[in-house]
Amino acid sequence: MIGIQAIGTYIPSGRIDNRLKTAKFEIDETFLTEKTGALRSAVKAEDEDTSDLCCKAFYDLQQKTGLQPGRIECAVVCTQNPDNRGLPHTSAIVHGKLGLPESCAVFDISLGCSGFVYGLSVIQAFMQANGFTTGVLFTADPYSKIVNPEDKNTSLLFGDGAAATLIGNDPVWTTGKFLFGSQGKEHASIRIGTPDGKLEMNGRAVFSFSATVVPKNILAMLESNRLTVEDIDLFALHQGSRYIVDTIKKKLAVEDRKAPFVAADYGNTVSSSIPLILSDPGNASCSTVVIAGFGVGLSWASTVLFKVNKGK
Amino acid sequence: MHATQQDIISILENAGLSADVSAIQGNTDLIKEAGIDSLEMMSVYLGIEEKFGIHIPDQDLDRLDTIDNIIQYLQKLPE
Repeated sequence: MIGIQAIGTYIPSGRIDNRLKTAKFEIDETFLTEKTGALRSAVKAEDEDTSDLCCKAFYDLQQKTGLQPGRIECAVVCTQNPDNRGLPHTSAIVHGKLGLPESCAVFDISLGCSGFVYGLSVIQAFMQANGFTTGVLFTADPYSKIVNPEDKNTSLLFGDGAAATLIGNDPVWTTGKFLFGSQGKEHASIRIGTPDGKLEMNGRAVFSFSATVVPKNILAMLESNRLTVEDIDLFALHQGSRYIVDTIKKKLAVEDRKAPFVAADYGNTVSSSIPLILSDPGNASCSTVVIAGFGVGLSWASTVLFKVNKGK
Repeated sequence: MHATQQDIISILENAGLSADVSAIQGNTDLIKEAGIDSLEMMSVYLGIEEKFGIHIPDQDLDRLDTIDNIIQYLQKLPE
């Protein structure tokens, strides 16, 4: 049985104070606090690339677990903002920087905010198919590379961050059934859309999708796992914005404390938002956790995590 | 498409607005006078779409600035 064994994280120390943008964007601080949610956005250093964020999350994982690189049989990087426009794949660069063994399989996955949940399913299936017991799922999607600071729709939301999730045969959490979905006809809702390669987002389209499709997906996923909303200790929802988290929470009739918004100090870290919630020691005792990622694509995925009883 | 003032007020009440819905009159500008912000308006638009089974194109949103104008907009749509 494999599952999530530990999670290392990295949030760069650099910050953009979004409160300094309120006048420019004609909003007040309440809008930041209660709606977009990110008072500050984490931003990587100029000389840090996506692979560096992965490595720093890995060093945190090593500190927590003592994991030796030589034990790793596969490593997957989920990003849409890779080093060098994606050639070579960022996982190869991470492989080199961390000194992973030549026998270690590495590949990238191109997904945005649904990436952690998809990635979890992909790496577990890949490991099970090949008899592996030690793999790492990296998520690192530094949107500071593509956000236009003058764009109100996006520059108040996103922050840089990364996670390295150890998948192994002594798990803390195992996964239930997954439920995935895509609306490719809406792919233009979040995309690189400007000639200079900057991000464009139709906020209304993304909100409507998140408020309608995601709660239904979560409820259907719970039903497939023979669970109800009341059975869940924690809803680790992708931290798109506070308003989106609050809206989904209301649609599911979930108590405030069970579906937190935690990204006020660093922003929407795309595919790293869910592992950042899971790595919070305050959530370590949660025995049944929904994880739901949704966004770019449009793409969505959810599953439930079950705490493994270690008999301690 | 038939829509009443109560239909729209119900949508506003269910949208979780920070504004006091009871103070909103038919001709109150929802953004400039009632103080509904841009994100809350997305909930209002979605509420209208779900209630009446329609899709409101982005280019029509500026016309939906008061309860009266929303009703007028809906009345011009075919049943």
